Amino acid sequence: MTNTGHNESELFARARQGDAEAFAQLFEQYRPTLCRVVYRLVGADDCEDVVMESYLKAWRAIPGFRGRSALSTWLCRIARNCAIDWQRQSTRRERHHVHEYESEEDEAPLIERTPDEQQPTPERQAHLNDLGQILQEGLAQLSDEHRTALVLREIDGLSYCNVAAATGVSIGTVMSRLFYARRRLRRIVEEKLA
Amino acid sequence: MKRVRWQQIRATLREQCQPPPLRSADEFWADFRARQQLVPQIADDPLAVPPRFAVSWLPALTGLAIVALVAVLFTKNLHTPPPTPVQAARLSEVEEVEVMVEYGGLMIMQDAESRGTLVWVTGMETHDG
Repeated sequence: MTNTGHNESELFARARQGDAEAFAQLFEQYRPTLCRVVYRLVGADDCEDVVMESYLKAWRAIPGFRGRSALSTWLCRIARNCAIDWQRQSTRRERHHVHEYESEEDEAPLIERTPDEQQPTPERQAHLNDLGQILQEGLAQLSDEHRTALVLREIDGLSYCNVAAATGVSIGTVMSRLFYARRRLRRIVEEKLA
Repeated sequence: MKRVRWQQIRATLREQCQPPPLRSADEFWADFRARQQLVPQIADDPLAVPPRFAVSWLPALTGLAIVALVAVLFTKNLHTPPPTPVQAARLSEVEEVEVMVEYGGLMIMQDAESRGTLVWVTGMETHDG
């Protein structure tokens, strides 16, 4: 067993026994992934709350974790359940991020853009703007299931397993959705650029 | 049609569609610790199982029961010998008719469909009549 693995096992054992510090150390590494999943499912406004709720549920449930899946996958599944609960309770459904894709008249970007940390050249920026605009229109034409799978995999870099846990389907279904989503998006882009 | 590499699409998506930056770890986990004290740990893990998973047993079991029932009926049907074809009943053969009273006429009719024989005696004279 590697040193990291040993540390994780130790942290996991301590977390199961109620050590919150160990829990924080163990689960901090999954926070970026969890935030991305929740962000895609509920949008920016509720993201922090749902992430916190997911961690609290994980804290509550970790003594019963049997290790049948990876911790990150388990966490993604919890996050998905929390997001669903959150959406059910929320009366502000227009905040659902996916709906932003569907409004063609809405000028808001599909997903909030990053602050300009790396300024591209003007030519590169123009090309990105064209392609980016086409991609946003293309994403809007995908079904919710295809779009979510594509975004979680291609933009957020989740594993197939975690995409499956986050979306509540099998890995085979994820692969199928990705195949069709990529093909459709590529066709849209190529038609627009032709 | 212009061919676009998927890597280019992916790179553009990643450049344009990044999620907002994370809160600092210290801040987040301090918040977590403050709330975590209000949440007792439990041994069972109902949250890890998607609700749909538990509910999906019902239609699965129902479907299984229907399949089992159909299979039993089908198997039973296989083991039951097929009914032997009904032997064509011979038509009744009237060999002799004896009428004990005076009569006017006698008719013997045979119906192939109902496999019956009808003896029709007319003009019988009874003692009353």
